[in-house]
Amino acid sequence: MRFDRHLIIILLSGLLLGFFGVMLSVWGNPENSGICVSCFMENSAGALGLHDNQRLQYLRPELVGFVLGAFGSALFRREFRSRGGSAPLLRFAAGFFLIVGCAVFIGCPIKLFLRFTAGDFSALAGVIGLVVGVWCGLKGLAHGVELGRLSSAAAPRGTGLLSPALFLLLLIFLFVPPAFLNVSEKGSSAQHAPMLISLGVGLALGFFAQGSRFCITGSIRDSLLMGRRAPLLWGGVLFLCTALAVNFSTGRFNPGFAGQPGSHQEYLWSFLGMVLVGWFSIIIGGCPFRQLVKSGEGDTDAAIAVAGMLLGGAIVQSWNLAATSAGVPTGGKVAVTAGFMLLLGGSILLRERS
Amino acid sequence: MALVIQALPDKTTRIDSRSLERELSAQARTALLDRLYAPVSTALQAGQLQEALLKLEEITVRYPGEAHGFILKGEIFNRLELFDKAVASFVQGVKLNGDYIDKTSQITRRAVIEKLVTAQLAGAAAAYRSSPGSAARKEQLANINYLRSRLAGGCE
Repeated sequence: MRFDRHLIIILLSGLLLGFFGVMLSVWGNPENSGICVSCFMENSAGALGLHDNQRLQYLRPELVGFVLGAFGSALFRREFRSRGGSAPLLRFAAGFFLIVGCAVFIGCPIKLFLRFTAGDFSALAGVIGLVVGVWCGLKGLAHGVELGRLSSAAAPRGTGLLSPALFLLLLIFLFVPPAFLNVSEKGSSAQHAPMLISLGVGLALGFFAQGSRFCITGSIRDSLLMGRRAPLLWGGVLFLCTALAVNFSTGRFNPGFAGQPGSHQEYLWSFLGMVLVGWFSIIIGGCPFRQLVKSGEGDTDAAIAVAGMLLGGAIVQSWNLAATSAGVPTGGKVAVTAGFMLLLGGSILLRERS
Repeated sequence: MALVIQALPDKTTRIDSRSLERELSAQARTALLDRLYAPVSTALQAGQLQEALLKLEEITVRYPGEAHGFILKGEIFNRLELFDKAVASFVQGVKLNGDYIDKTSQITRRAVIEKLVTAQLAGAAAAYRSSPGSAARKEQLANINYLRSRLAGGCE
């Protein structure tokens, strides 16, 4: 492994993600949820009127920042290219089930480690689950379970601009809120950092994540494949160390298994939820955060996954699939099981036959 | 096209009034609850806890799923020093309506719940450790941990 410019950008991405992941909570986001793509998706779906949970409606500026920051970076590096065209419906379903898995665990892979570094040891089941899920995904890839290759030819010219354009519209909504935009006055969505700070952090993280290809499941994947030689591993390690240090220094490290913010005691379902997330992330090439970043750099396949994630954010609330501190509802368990059935069925059908 | 243009103002007006509708609905709900549960509140203020409990049972027959009833029951049990039952009632109320544990809500009971949880945690944990097979003690500790988690915040 060489200490080159790319490694520096990866390390910088990990550092910024760890620092701002905690600091956004200090500045007003919910505890241990400074950055949580799945929670933000649920909040934003509610803000756009896609579900009616009045405690979870806020258009999160961080999401807008991730996509537009990645878009700006891709343009700056001349890497913006419309591409895609492989298994759109499966990618849509994968995006949906990513959010189901996250909702059952209560948090995306970034929040998983933010919870863990804040002393929430109940997240350990999710950490193990995510690693197992990534390992299962890699086993699948080794047996030829793939959704196909990205192709510029399959994506008509300019289609990669659709996702940045949509998020540009959402950016306008942030500054000129339309009448139909819902905003919670109570509950966790009423807790948020100042809008300009959230947007700025999102833009910076999106910018660096595009350049570095940093991703939580990608870090685990590369570590399993390449060990210590994987540059993303060191980005992940720096993310963890920074988050831990900032949690300690801001007095937010409260070790324990029970009574932690936004967590439950159903460890088996925390584990299974994150297995689902890890496995799907490997199949579609990145965790929820990475899907947003890729959708900003012209990847229409990732944009389809983001659309599935947005629908997932709405459905987990409307159908009561999301776990709460009280535990995992039956619907959530059924949805996770359905996700595994899709994964197993898809793996059997998509595998390369010799 | 003309039809669409004509329809727009109506739709906008409907959407504009959504936040007002929410506010009205919240205020109407609070006023209705105050009126419905007035006999319970009066008895509570007079220190007539058994009387308050009886009045509450009468109202609960008509409105069995109302969070406010569980919260009032929790307050009565708390004052009767039936702490296990108080915790269980608060849990039911908070599960039905998270406003009761919010910091800024008009109907919050956060201070009472926080005090109760802080006082009961050590005892409930010790009781569970002494007999881990007891379903009742396990449930009591789970209830306290649920309230701790809600008090700690985080995403819902």
